[in-house]
Amino acid sequence: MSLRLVALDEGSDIPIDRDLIMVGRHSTCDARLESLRVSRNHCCVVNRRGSLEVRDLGSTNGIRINGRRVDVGTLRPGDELTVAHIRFRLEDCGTTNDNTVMATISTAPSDDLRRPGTGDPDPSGSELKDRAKRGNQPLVRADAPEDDSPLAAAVRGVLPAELAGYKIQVIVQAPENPGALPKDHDSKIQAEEDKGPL
Amino acid sequence: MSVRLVPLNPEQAYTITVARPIVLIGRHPDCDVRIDLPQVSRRHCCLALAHDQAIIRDLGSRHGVWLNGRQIQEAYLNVGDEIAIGHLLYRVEQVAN
Repeated sequence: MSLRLVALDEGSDIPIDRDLIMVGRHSTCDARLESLRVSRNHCCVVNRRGSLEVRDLGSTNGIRINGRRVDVGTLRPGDELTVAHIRFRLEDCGTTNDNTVMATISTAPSDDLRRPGTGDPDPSGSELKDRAKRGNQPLVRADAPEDDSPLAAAVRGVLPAELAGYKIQVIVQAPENPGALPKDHDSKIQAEEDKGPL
Repeated sequence: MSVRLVPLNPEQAYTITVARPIVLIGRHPDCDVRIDLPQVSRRHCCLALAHDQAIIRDLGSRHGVWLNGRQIQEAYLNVGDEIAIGHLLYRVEQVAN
């Protein structure tokens, strides 16, 4: 079980990779939140086998669980934790490999992705979100298998046509050695992951 | 493992039982265990039960948390360990479930 507090606003996620995690603005905290509305020692989080126990440490702006202000509370996957004004959602990232992060893109690849060489082949996440707002219909190749996930469909769009029948599995993996990132294209995704707080 | 901290000098302090996942210890009235002594910071340290291990963590206290004579920021507790919170000494004991 690999739990993660996913940032819903600005800032980094908080991976639950220790038994006790101090959250606050102070340099000794395990998860530092650089906002003046966050107290130096704001709250602490204890990993309790599938759930988290959270306790406010006398912070000025408090903590909320699913919008309700609490001093002590339990977080289960799907619950929302607010530290001062910064919101996180607890997610269970699976059981297989702690370094592997499954990413699901809720929208489809762009037209540009489907036709290599006809535009920007690497649209940013915000562009994808904009497209999702305009219309959420899946833009997969006509010859793609029906069980393609949106992420796999996006990859299929940039592959040569000869590989149309191949099964695609997308793995987004955080680097085991963050100091030595390869300089190839794939490392861009890894570098994004590497911006975590720890 | 559920633990309690038994004071070496029972006249000075009460036994601290870790009865919930996080126990906040300090001089402030909001703490779960209140120790109203000047050497104890308002929020001095916290004890946590994670999995089957008890952890103690200093919360930036002035007089610190000491484990077996060494100042620590965070440590896992074992039965028989000696903990100092401010000037108060405790021994870690196991609580039968």
